[in-house]
Amino acid sequence: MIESTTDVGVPDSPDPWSGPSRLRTIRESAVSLFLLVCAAITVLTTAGIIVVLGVESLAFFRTSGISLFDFLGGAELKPDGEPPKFGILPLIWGTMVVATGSAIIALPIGLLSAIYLSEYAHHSVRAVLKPALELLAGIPTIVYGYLALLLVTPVLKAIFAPWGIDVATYNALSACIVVGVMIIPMVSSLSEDVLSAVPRGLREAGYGLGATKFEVSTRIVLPAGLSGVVASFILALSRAIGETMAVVLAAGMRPQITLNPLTSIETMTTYIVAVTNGDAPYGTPKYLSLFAVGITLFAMTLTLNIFSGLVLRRYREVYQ
Amino acid sequence: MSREVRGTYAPHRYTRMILGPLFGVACFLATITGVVVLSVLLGSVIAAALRRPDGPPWYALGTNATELYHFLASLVSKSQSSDPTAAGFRIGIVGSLWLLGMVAVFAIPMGVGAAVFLEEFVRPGRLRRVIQTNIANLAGVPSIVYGILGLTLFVRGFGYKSFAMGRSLWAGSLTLSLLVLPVIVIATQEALRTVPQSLRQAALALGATRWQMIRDHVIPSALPGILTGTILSLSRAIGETAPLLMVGAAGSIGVLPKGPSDRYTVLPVEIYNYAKSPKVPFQTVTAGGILILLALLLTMNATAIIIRNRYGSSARG
Amino acid sequence: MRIPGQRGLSATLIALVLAGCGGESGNDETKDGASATKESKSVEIDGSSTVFQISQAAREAYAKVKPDVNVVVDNHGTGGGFGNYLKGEIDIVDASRPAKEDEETKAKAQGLEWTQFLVGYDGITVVVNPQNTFVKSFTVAQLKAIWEPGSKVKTWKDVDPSWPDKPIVLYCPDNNSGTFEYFTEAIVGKARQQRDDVQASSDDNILVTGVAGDQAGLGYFGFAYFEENKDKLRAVPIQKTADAPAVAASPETILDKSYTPLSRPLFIYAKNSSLRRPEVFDFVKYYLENIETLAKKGGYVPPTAQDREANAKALPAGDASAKAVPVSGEPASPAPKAAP
Repeated sequence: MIESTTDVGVPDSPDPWSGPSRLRTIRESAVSLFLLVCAAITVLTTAGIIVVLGVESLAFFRTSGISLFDFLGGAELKPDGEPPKFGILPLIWGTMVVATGSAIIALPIGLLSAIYLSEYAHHSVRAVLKPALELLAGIPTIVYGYLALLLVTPVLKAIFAPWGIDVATYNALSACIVVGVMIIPMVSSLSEDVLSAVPRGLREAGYGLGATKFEVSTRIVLPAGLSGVVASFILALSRAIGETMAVVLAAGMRPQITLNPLTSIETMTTYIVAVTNGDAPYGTPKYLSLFAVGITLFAMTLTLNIFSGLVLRRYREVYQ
Repeated sequence: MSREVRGTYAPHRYTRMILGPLFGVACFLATITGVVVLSVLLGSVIAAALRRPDGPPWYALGTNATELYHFLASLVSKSQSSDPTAAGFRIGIVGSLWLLGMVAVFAIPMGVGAAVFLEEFVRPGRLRRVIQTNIANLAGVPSIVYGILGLTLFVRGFGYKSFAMGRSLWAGSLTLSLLVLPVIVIATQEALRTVPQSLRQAALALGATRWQMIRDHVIPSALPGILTGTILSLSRAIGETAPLLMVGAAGSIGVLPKGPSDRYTVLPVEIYNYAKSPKVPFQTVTAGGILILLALLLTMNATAIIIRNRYGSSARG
Repeated sequence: MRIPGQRGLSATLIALVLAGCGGESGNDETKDGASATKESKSVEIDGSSTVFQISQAAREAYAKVKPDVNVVVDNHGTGGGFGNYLKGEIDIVDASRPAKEDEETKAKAQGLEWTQFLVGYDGITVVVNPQNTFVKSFTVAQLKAIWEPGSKVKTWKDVDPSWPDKPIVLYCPDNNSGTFEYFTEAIVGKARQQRDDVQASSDDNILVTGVAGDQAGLGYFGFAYFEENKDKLRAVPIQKTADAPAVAASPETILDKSYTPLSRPLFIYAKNSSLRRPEVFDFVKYYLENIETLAKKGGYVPPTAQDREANAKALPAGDASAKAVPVSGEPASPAPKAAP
């Protein structure tokens, strides 16, 4: 006797081939909806930021009477002056200095660390070093700021004193150093994950053809994981641009356009902090200027991301 | 034909033999740099925490370690005070833990959900690129702007009293969740991309629904990367000061938060306030606070790493 | 295979979730805007980081007396404190300067009248590195020449020809600070106007480290920071005019106002409608009654007996018109202008 093979646990569909049960379909669409809402929240956040910043920025341009060109291109920033001047070119310069400097430090070190951890290191060494580097990411930014002030700057002073070069208490170089150290884990950890996930078969193929470890790492594994590596670069660079407290404590607050990294500068983020914590009553041009600076920063990072997205699309490789 | 091939065949054996190990050494040094910086940082903070004019010398590790332990334990049990000998971080630690828990509850499902949606449900194309660029951009927004957003939206509710949460843990955790969301999304997306298509198609071919495929095959396979993103983002959340100050972390509070609607303070804010105090003995208290924060961080990271290792070795081929 | 009514089901689920969220935050609504919940009693204070030290000591002491009242103190700066007060979010403002005219008008316009109480005195101390022995005193005019905007003073010799021809490095609080505002108003003559090329910081301990480690350093900050670091710094006595005696900063000279023009009163402004709540009234009463010990704990000079009397008079009525006037000298007005 052949027993009936009906699945008794699913009363709604006696025939196992009639497709998913009603409960399952509900669950599938509920899940899809939930995921859609999650993705929508990211879009809503951007919308929220643009609305909050944009509305007040418009108010700024209205009350201060300054033109967009003067704002972006003016080189004098004196919000307390009479008449107040709001040229933010020194801030843009300061932000780029810190971003470039910290990128120079963090990207090579991060990438080389990632390659070391994924290709060269013994797995027990990797198990210890990877978390150790991730610990660097969690140190609060104010600690990095104080570190810059109390450790990095005195060391810089000691290094440069014999040559008679003067290092100010607040200087851009120590800000670049600490921010660079802060973002190393972002590059190394994320890149290492991506590089480790490259299929072993690819490496074996390379070795089989006579390549050395160096060649396999740089010419096979790295290009395979390039999209993830570049994504980690962009993430790290974005964090460096948006870093606030560490830069405030390390670089001070003096808006100026200078090529000397050993003196104080002001970035867009430190300006925002200064005005937020400051005394300017709500509604005055000085207070509203922080929103204008904020939205300029937002526009700058957006341009950077669009540009790198375009570049990335050319070079991404997909492996099955 | 073979003559032409012989002319172009130049294995550069000796160059490659030297270059290889050299590169390996460079990579090792790079990794070590990070570790060295970490040790220097830890060392200087520990030295600051132990600083006493008549204390034991630095190489008396046993005495120093027990002393440090007692000092930190006392800091954990004492509350905020204007007297350095009675000052501690109890309320800040509890507040930070509350905040961390709430951020994990909000941000991790939202971030993983958004990444899964973008990777699995949306066709690669214009819409997906726009959203991805948007998220990458959000990662670069300064934390203080999130503070302003949180203040306007969560604390004050755009002016509508019924939506305003006031300066409570709700507002703080939601603000921080928005702050760390982009990191989780991007890290999860990259992790999902490392899962081979063959795995997905095999599951679908065997009759799994899309959600079953994602839940049972794709996510466990991508779990190491997801956990890395989680670790990095929660680490950042625990150390943030500026946005929380804007959104209502108190400068001085004597009562532990009993629920998400209460006022609170967090460890970095307390550290910052102690650092600014004129009384010199507060500097050792500050250093102790930093060590406690690092210890919290280490515990958190260790838990996530254990989970990561367990899933990583079993899921990866 | 879609089921009928799938969309309706999803919509209901969303509506339920949102309603749940709305209900939660509805519980946080209160009268008069202060973020106190209905169950616990709380007092919200915000303002100057200088007066924060005193208010924090008050909070701590009061918690021993009445542990069920939750006193929360923030330090968003004097300006930030007034800003939050005018939004109706706090009960008491800590202020290291008297309230400005427009702040007062705005408060009255919204029905948020306050009562001013004097809680202590601070003396802004001008310091140099201990190895700097040639500066015996500064006149206000000299300080003005050094700190005013567009100042051309680069070396000590520019200030006084008998001093060495070495560069000066200036350290000062950043422009959010009440100390900065008071100093510039008293010395330069106009609030917040100062030269640009200074090393500014929001953390006065950094200024201490800066001047202590820099032979060419010259800086100013609150008296409490000098007191704590007497061994690392040298305070410079100030002469109001060229022929006035040079007065050094000390608790006595700050109190009797002979350390001019850098001796400044510290205030709290309590909202009158909050004072009608028993927990706020009780807290403020405790604060004012114990102000001697509390101010000292905060590191500042406590108010005189006359000041305390005036505070006590102003308190029971919670009357906006009865401003506490420090009877020991000048009225509670902005810092005296610098002598020309």
